[in-house]
Amino acid sequence: MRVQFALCAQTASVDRSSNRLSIFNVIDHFPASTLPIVIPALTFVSILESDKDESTNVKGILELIVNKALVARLELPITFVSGRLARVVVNFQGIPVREAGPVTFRLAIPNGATAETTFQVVNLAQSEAIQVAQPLKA
Amino acid sequence: MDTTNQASGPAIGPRAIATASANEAVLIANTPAFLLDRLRKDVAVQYVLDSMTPPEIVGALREALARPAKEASDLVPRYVYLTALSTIDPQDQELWKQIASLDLSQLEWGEAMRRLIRAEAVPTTTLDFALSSPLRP
Repeated sequence: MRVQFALCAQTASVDRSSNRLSIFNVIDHFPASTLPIVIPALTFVSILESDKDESTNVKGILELIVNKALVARLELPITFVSGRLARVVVNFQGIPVREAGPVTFRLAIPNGATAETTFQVVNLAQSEAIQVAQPLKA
Repeated sequence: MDTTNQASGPAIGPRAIATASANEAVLIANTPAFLLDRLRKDVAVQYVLDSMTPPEIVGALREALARPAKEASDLVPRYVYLTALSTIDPQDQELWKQIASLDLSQLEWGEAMRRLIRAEAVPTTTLDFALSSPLRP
């Protein structure tokens, strides 16, 4: 099994008529003007590729880790149907972040691959303070 | 299938879905992918999807394919039904077997469109997860 990609976005949708996946506003970092904060909505998307052509069901474990603390752990049934691809789309609501640091989503498939993506929560007040303390040289 | 639009039951007459825009799509299409994309957005396919269940669409297509097409416009409803099949749940194995068994030889691009539809039927696991009391110490 192989991971084609894993990422976080603001939202994602699957078109009813074409079954095509659209991903909107990919999150590469999350700027926070105050901390702690709650990220109101966020979508984890991953595409997995199977080595076999036959239909298989596997159970994945998705973990949400905020600043090295496990915040959520859920089981996901993943189905490959007579083909090699399967998509996972998980919509999270209300992710608590107490301080700046990494937010990691890790989808582990037993005896298979692990799809992982991380973005940083950046404390804007802190980074502005650093910029003021270290002004650019003329 | 009846050739008129019926008030009761799920059946839709081929004339009802051979709309001007669907006719135009079949007429001007130069590739199977173009025809599939164009028909997916067509009101005729939306009408079929709103009015019929997936097994009914497969049944209607099978029935239409059992009759020879007398003129080019007879092909339009067949392409409309075939395009409507692209909404079928990728995990519905029984229905996909039925689709695979359809004889699409009278449709020039039938086989290519069926392959495209099958290739795009990637199963998606979707889950909504809300964290409760997120900032409670």
